[in-house]
Amino acid sequence: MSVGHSMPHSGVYARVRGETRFGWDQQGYGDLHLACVRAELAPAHIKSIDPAPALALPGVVRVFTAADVPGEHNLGIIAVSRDQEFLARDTVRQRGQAVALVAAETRAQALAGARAVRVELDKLPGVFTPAEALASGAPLVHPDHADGNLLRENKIKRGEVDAALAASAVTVEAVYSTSPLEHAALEPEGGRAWWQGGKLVVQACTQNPHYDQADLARFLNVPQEKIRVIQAETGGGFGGKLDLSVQPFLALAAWHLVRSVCMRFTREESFLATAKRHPLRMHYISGADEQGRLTALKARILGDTGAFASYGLAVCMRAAVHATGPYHVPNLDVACRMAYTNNGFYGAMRGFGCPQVALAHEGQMDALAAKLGLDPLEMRKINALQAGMRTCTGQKLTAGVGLMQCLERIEPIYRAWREEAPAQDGLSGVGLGAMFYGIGNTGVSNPSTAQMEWGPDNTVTLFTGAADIGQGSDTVLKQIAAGRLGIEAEQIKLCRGDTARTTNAGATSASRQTYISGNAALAAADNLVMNLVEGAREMLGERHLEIELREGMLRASDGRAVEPGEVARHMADQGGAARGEGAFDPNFSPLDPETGQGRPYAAYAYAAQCAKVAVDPASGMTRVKEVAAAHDVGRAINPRAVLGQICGGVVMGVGMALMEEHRPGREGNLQQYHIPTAADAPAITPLIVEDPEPTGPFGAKGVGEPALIPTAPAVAAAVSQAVGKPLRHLPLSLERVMEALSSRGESHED
Amino acid sequence: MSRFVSPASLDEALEAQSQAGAQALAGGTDLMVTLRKARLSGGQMPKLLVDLSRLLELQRLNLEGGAPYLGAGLTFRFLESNPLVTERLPLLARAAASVGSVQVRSTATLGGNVANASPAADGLTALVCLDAVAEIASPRGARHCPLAELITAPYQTTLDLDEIILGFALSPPPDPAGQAFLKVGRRGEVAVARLNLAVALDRDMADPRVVLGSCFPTPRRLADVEGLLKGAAPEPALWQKAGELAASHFTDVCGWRSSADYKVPAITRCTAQALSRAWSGLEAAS
Repeated sequence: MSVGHSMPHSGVYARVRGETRFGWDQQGYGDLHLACVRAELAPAHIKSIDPAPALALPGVVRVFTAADVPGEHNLGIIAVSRDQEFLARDTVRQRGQAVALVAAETRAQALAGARAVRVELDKLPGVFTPAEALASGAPLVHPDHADGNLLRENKIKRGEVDAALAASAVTVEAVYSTSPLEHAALEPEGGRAWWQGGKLVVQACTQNPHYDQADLARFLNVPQEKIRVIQAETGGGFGGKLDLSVQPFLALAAWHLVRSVCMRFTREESFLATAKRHPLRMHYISGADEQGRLTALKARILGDTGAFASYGLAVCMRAAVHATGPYHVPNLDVACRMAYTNNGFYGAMRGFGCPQVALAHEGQMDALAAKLGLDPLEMRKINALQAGMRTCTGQKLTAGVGLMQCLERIEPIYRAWREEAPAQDGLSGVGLGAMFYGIGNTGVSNPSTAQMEWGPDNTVTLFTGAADIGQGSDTVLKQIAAGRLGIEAEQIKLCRGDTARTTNAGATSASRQTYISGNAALAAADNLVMNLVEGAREMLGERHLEIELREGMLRASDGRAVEPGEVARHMADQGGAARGEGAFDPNFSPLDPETGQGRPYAAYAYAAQCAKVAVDPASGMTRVKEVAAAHDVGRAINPRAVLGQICGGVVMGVGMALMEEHRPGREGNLQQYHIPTAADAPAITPLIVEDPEPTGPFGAKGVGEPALIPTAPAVAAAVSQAVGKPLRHLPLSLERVMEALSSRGESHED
Repeated sequence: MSRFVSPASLDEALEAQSQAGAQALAGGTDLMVTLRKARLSGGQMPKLLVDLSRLLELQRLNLEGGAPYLGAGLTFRFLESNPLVTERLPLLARAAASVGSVQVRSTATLGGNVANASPAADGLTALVCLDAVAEIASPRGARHCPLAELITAPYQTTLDLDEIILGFALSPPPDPAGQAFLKVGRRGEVAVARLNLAVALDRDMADPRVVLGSCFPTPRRLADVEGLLKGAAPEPALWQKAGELAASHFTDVCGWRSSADYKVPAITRCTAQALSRAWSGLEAAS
């Protein structure tokens, strides 16, 4: 059996040996090298671009500008909000936006050429905070956008909030905020493009090859079939490789020059030119009755989407529908707004707004519990979503709601940590975080497709468009298919992420591949079995024979057994093939635009985490000592991969909680922008909870993003306990902790 | 493109270093970052990189008898783990252990840390507390230079282009001494010091030393604080007062910048904490 057994990630040994060929490793002999000319100030009007000084340099072949774009200038991952010019036409909207592209014989020549291009910019008035952006008379980031600088507002309305708050035994009003974050995937963006068989081939690191193909076709104004995108092995994404990065530049240059080209971003360029996590400001008013039951939530959330929409619509909607956290709240008035500014654009990052709102919903739970004199864990148990309850969008949960089990799993650890004697030379604290997370895209169709083939030589192949970016979907999809076919996962070959050979599986995002592409693979396996059985009946000459695939053989009820490979040979002889097709689209209903009511997701993951921290009262230095993390994944297809995701998510959460903060407009690099090192990783106790999801493949849901979401709130709660004051703004930098240490004992109300 | 030489003798190294456009390369953990930036921005690259790692003259270590001496080529990894260093110069061993990561410490050297002259250099703060005098070689012969004279401003030294630091003669406080080194960084490893602090106290409080780094253009001994401590009765109230004095010295020198909101309380408390630790270390040892 393959499902439920730990398997090493497919390709992991090659990675460890350094043999894996990532985006930049695709470069080939004779490739031209590309480098962007990036605007140093924004917003600005482009007065002139003079390529002559660059063209005079040795090795420089061509300088491209927006005038060379044959098709659509505005690209973007969400069809209704395509607004990103990969080569700015008249206006630079954010610092670092590319205005020209240099192709040269070597990388050094391309970089020298990019420095030599003379760009004249006229600075324009801009907006750099959402509040500025939404003020009346503010300069418009996209003058043709219908709602000024407001990208979108999402509302959730249920019941009577004001009356419920007035009748509540306790209420808490507080403001929370989070900072822009960089994904800092180990692999900076890179790739190659060339011509082959009359097609332009682009091979780059990506989370979404089929989207890349569609947008590149739009960019070049050619039919999609003319473009083939192959996902290069991708060294981490975390949402940062969902938007196009190097691909449009590669495609444009290869298109015009009819030569192979390669390109990579430096780390600094990756900071400057790719998406960041949306910073949110969250104003919450929550109420509870005397028993601790939540009565109402009024929330006003304001986010910055930067100069382009990217995934702003998705983050806005997801933040709204997760604003309550994993609790039953009968009365709701939530409004989440996302504003354009001239900051570098914000986009998808592990959790799509949920890690941000989790800080607020968990902070409110602790504050309400403190007012009521309730234990924070009890407070969560009292309000935890359970089967039969309704979420904030009115969706009735029926099964696979494992939150209570998660809370119960961490409870003994939480109690033990709480009772530990305080550290002698420092302050310590213990905090909780819980979450729910809708699997897949919000309130929209987001299907996946897959095919399987049983070859005449008994090789079994799974075809999937799902990009494995290190999270392990290759392995999990093979395990799921193998589980249905009753063979070993190792027996399955994978053909993945190549638009010429696989079909669309949607993005590797929203923790959706195990659940959605897993179901598609399962359906493809089912269909393959059906076709093999048909083939076997035909081969055996008995139309109505009962045949099943068992232990690698097609076994008929009359005792005969044939090898599937033999059937495949038979089918091939007849001009066919032993193939199976599968597709899956989660059952959803769109959200009502006014009330936000609907069924945005078919399945939800749940989690609870508990963190223990130590704070040095002299310096404010904070260390997360231990984290216990219980995650309801429905069913762990590859348990060790689940544990890996949980541990990775926790460490990323430690970064979000304590140190990560990108400052728009400032240079970004890994010297300035701190991500956790091994020395910052706490001791982690990952706990797998399996409350089967009836619609999941073998009961499975996703864990990629849930792993991160509860950590920062748990750490914030623990630090708050250590310093004796609620901390509501991330990261909990030395300065913020010191400020709290210095003002301890002052009023907690804000 | 830079040329790279790895001389096996000091004479060869000095000769190479005297060539126009030569740049000494010790561990390279700061230099490589600078050179990469220069390369990417089209800045000037050195013509010649002179690797100092093979020079035995830079590897000397004497902590037993006679004048204590540390070669400039000793790595932080060596300094944090060598038993003589951890026993005799615990503040230096702690400072060494707080630099970068294991990978960085395995190649980064004490001499490179000084020559780079970052205001936040952990090794530098420790050396200033040990009253180090640099021994410097050039084709013109050797010279000796106290660190306060060698380092004039952030990333600025009085080293001539053809000079190489050989090592450091130390004057630690009289034995037994209690020593402490504290570093505040934004994460557990690979963090530039937000502030660092080296402290040494002898039993008679005759030669107290307090050095604060990452707060001034160069790490410096706090004469006012040392004056307060000298001959005073060691007790928690004294540590607290010393901390407050250290913080007011900081604002006197640097003014009240935005970073002072953090640094004033941090300097106050960390100084008191370091002094208290140094004194308890001294008491525990006796």
